[in-house]
Amino acid sequence: MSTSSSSSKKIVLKSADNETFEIDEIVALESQAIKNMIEDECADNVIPLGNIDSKTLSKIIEYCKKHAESPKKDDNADIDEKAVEDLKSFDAEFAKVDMPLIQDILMAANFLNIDNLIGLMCRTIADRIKGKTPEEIRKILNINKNDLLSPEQEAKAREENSWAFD
Amino acid sequence: MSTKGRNWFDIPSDIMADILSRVGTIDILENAQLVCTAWRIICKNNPDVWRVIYMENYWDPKARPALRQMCEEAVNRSQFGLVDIAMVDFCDDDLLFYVAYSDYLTDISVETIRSVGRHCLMLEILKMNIERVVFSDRETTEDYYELKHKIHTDTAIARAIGKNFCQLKHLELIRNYMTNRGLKAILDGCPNIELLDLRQCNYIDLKGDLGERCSQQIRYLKLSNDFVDSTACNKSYANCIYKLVVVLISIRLNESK
Repeated sequence: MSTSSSSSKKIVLKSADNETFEIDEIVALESQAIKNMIEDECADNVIPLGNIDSKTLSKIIEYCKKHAESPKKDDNADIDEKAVEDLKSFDAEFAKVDMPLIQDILMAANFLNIDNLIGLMCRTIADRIKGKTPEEIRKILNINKNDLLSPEQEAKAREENSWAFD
Repeated sequence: MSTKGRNWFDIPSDIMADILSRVGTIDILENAQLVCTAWRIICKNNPDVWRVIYMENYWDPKARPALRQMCEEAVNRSQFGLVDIAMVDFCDDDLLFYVAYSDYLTDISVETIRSVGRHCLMLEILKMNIERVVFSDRETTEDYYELKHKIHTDTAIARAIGKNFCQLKHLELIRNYMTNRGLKAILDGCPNIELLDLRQCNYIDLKGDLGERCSQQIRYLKLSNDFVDSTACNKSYANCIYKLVVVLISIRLNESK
């Protein structure tokens, strides 16, 4: 495979709900998992992503497009400050979505192995639960009620927190 | 996956640890670990959550004892994985001893030095002797940046020592990566130093005025090429990344009031 032709080559991704997305290979390469598939030449014309729905996938493609366009740090030592700022504000805007979608994007980014996106989602979740009480966090993240600490566990945890300020 | 009924169990635990580590030390101990059983298990057993401990007090004397306890707990849970710790306005000597001698700490930040300085105004002895794998002759680009970073950090730490420990009499900095700027800050800021150990500080140059000043100002000076015994010498040069194997901070407070 020659790298010179890769900019024009197209890849088709298929979501769990059978929607197809045609994207430039260079965009797809943002995903380490897809990159490996292409390099190992085990990617067919269409890459099925059975565990990612179309809503999530289109968000991820939006992210990869932007990041693929943006100049990479290792390309050039004196990187364009403006491009960095631009990417930062894109990321900030990108992360302004509801929690279920964030979680879906995180899971998908993990599956596709897109490091920057995993980091962005982790940061976003952390920022939203900082300074919140356990109850507030459960609400924000819609934590499964079956997974709450039992009264005994809760009591034990509180006991361990003997440093409590109040 | 359907859009309903998401389960946080689906998130792999290394990612969950990543998220939690960004929430902050105090927040985890106070809130996050009580959210659900999965999180509690990760917070208790996954040291990645505790690689960086950052805790800050805002001049509330009543909060300090609690923060010290929390910090101890956080250090315990890091299970030797601690890479950076900052204790702002609550650390006392006992806690510092605890952190330093627990051998958990593998790196020290400027903030730690400042914080120690604030609380140990009369500190007379400071040992920050470092054992690390040295950089090989054939350096890769990555090594180069790593080295640059070390030189920068250690110089910043040296300057923080100069700023914060004006009573020092005995300072050991074996294998520090500081440059002349760092050393000058120490000589300027700590006029009482009698013993200064600069063995294997390979990035200072004592040929010029600074060297002369050192020998005038310091009574017992140990220099770059003096022998360092094997307890401080690391034989493993395998990887070209530095590794802080031992950070020893020992402290003796001036006992006279």
